[in-house]
Amino acid sequence: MSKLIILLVLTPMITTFLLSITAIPHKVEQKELMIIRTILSLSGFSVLFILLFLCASDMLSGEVYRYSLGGWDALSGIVLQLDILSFCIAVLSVVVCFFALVYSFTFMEHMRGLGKFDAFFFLMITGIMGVLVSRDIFNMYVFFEIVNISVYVLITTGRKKENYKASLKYLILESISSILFLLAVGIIYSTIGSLNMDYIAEGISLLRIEQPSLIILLFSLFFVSLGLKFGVVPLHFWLPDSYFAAPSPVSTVQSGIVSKIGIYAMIRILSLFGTLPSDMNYFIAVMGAMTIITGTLCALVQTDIKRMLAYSSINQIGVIIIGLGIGNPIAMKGALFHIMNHALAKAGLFLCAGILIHTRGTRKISGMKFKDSPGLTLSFILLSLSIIGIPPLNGFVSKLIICYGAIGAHFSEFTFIIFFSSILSSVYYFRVIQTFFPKHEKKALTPDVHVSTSTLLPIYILAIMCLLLGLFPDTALRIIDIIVEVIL
Amino acid sequence: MTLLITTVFLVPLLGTMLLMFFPLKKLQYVSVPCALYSCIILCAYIPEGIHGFTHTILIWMNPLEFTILIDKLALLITLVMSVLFTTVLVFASHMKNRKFHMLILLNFSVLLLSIFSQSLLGFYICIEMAAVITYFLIIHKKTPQSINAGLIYFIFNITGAILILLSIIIRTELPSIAARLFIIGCLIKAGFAPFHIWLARAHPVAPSPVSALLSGIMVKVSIYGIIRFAPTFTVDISLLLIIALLSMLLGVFSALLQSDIKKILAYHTVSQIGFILLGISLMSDTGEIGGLLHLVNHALFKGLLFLCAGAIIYATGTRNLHELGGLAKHMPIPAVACLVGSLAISGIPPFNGYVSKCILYEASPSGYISLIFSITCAGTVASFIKLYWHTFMGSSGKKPPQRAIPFSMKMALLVLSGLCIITGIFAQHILSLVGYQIEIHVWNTAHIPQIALNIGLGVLLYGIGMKSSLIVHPPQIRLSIDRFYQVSGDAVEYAGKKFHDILLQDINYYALTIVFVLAAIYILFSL
Repeated sequence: MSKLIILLVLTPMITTFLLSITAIPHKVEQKELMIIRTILSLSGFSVLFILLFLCASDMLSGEVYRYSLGGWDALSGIVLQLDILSFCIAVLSVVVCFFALVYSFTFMEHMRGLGKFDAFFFLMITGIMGVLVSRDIFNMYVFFEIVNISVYVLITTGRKKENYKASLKYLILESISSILFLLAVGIIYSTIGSLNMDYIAEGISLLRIEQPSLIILLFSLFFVSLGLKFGVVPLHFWLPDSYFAAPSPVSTVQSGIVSKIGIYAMIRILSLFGTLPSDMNYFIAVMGAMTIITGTLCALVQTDIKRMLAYSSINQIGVIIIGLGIGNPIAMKGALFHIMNHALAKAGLFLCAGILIHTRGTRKISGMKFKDSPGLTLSFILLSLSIIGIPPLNGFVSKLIICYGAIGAHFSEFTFIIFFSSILSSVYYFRVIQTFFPKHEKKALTPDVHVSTSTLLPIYILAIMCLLLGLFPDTALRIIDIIVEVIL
Repeated sequence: MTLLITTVFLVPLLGTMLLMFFPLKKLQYVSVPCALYSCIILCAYIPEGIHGFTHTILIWMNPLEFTILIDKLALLITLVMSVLFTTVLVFASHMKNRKFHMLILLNFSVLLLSIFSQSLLGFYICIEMAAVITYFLIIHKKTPQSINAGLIYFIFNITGAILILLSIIIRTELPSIAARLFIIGCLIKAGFAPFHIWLARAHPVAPSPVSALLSGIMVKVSIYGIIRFAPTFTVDISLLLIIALLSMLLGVFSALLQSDIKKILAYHTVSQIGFILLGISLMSDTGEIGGLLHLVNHALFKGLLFLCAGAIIYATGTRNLHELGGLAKHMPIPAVACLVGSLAISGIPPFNGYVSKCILYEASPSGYISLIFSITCAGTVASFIKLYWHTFMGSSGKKPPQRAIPFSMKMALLVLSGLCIITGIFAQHILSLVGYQIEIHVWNTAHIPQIALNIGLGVLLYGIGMKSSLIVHPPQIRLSIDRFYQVSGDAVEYAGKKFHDILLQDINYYALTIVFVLAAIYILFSL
């Protein structure tokens, strides 16, 4: 069964190759090519779903799959590992990516025409799966590079001047992040002599007494490089621009999944350091608090809906980082649950924003005119209530759990920051929601824009998932309990 | 038998589902029976409820199990709630909007659950849900003003709710701060004096049935929260006396200056909940029962008055007092109902306001408290002379009634007027039926001088107002408290803009920042 792991990476990789073949100039009709691409990407996703389903029962019972490539031993070879944490995030990623792709079928025809979009989309999934399964810190770096490059290309598919500008910014800052990561990997390899995480953890616990300053250097390198990836303030500069400029399905995946992959890597790397000293824990939580405050205040003054959502992502990532920083099992549980909730809700919101921008013909929050669509309105309201953290939606449950964790660790100041940011979040989300309601004259509507059901369906499913997770979080929390036991 | 109690809130929920998924024509045939059902079941629980019992049901949320607690307090408030919701739904049965009926039924169900909840967390969850639902009820007309007011309502209410949530979380860690946060949260949600901005904005623009519910029920739920949960915190309630007195005075004098019918009623809500809080903060048994009775009575007569206003607006299409006049001969039933409501709120026997105000007056110590009490009562009298005279009496105004009000509205008004009289005369019996034993000595001549004084002062105040034309052309006074909220909102926005500008720079600054942060972290932990 453990050979399934390698298939998780290979399936999207093979799909990428097949899709890139369709992008070479052919004598085949454009329409037939589109159908071929659709079939290829759907079959790629269905194989991924089947693979994850096959792993599911073993993973949920707490088992760990290990697979070493080429039969080398773990000290020098490449080891792939799938445990329940990476499994859960893999499921989340595949689901969100699937919705984003389904959404892009009708919405991005002109961009998908070249075949570039689909191919790089699957390359990105390859990278994500690779980061999730690699137990080897250098491989993690390589797969991160794959994710970065494919996201860079995906941002440019919008083909406007601002897209190129934002993607260049993204590329440069992400390469700085990668260089720092590589530097840390190099230091680890030269001092410990292995790249496998199990050996590194042992090595670090020995080094802690001998060379404490080296540990601090490693910590700061990892924190800055990963912080750049998920956008901790003050390292978040690229984030609003690239979320803003990217086409909606791409910003959905960026906000929903790519930033979460950074957090996943952070969880893995932090576990290498063993139990952190309390001042480092506090430091991480303070960075989270800064992220929340900046994200909230900046989101409040945005006039553009996608920039507003981008800053709101920064805000929510701050909540997750506080959970990680506090680091006791309860807060960890809340943080993991919040990763899931934020991925689902924010993905839904970015998809909604795409439709709103498309139908209203403007990105400005004020001055939007909107053709009435009750389903979309209701989903937008549910998803934003989930982000704000209003019961009975899932965002409330995870924020509450993080706060109980903070109280358990005697960090009560963070509960205030989390919930005061909720108040301000409600202000900027309701500023968007209230534009749904005024009655407009008939001529203000744009009648030629048609939103098909297949575009709306992903949004409906995400909204319903948020509601169900909020009403019955038991199942999800039970799985997260197992994760917390495994990683702590 | 305990299972039956869950149907009290499940049936309205079922009604909501029915309205949501089936395209029914006659909406009122679903919504009214659902509310009536809850009302009847609650009445059936009276003999059992006065001894108090609990019933645990497991709903959602891993750490949370929902325990239903039914005792005399919960029973009294839910009874009033179900009566008011039923009459309001009857009143609103001419409205053909599916969403409106659906949201009201859903709100009913959630609010019932909030009263039944034994734990503070359950209470919080329900009132937060109710706040979201009420937001959509307030913006129901979809005019720019109502959308604006809805946002203000929502921000204030979510702030209040989140303060309550914070108090739940930090209550073991920082008990004294938690207690303060809880009380402030409840005060914001109830719309007491420094926080009454949302109340004054939201009531006039909401549809009249919704204003009746807002004033009659939603505001009361937060006061119920103080009564029920404040004793579990270590907090001195008597400090609330100042807020109570401030609300009483501010509410009544702001009301005197308004010319919008619903705004007048909204400001009177501020002043009347001041009476309720006064009773609670006196910390005596009589005070508490007086406050509770006034809570019930206020729900009834303020509901009645808002529905009257709704009938007037339905018929004439205006809210401005000075465009109305002489409506009594066109609309006799609203005129009678409005008279009953006005007399009740002014505290004139034999209506229910008189009983509760008498109990409160007896409970309050003489001195400045009873002085303010009398001034507020006189102001109330003056303001309702103004309201009643300018709408129903006098010469006919610019806007005569254009359409007749439907039978369902008249019925709702008559039922509520009847209840105002019944709860006035049989106050003691009703209280003892629900389990509150108190001897009420209000039906004697001892109070007549006081009432005569109040009425006299009220008439005098009205006369002065008319002479100096303050009532017809009220001065535009912008209260400084309004400006305070404006300024704090601007400050947050300014901070956001500055923050945003500072962080938005050229790409080489970013590279520099990265290096700087790296160095800073290293140095921080090396020290």
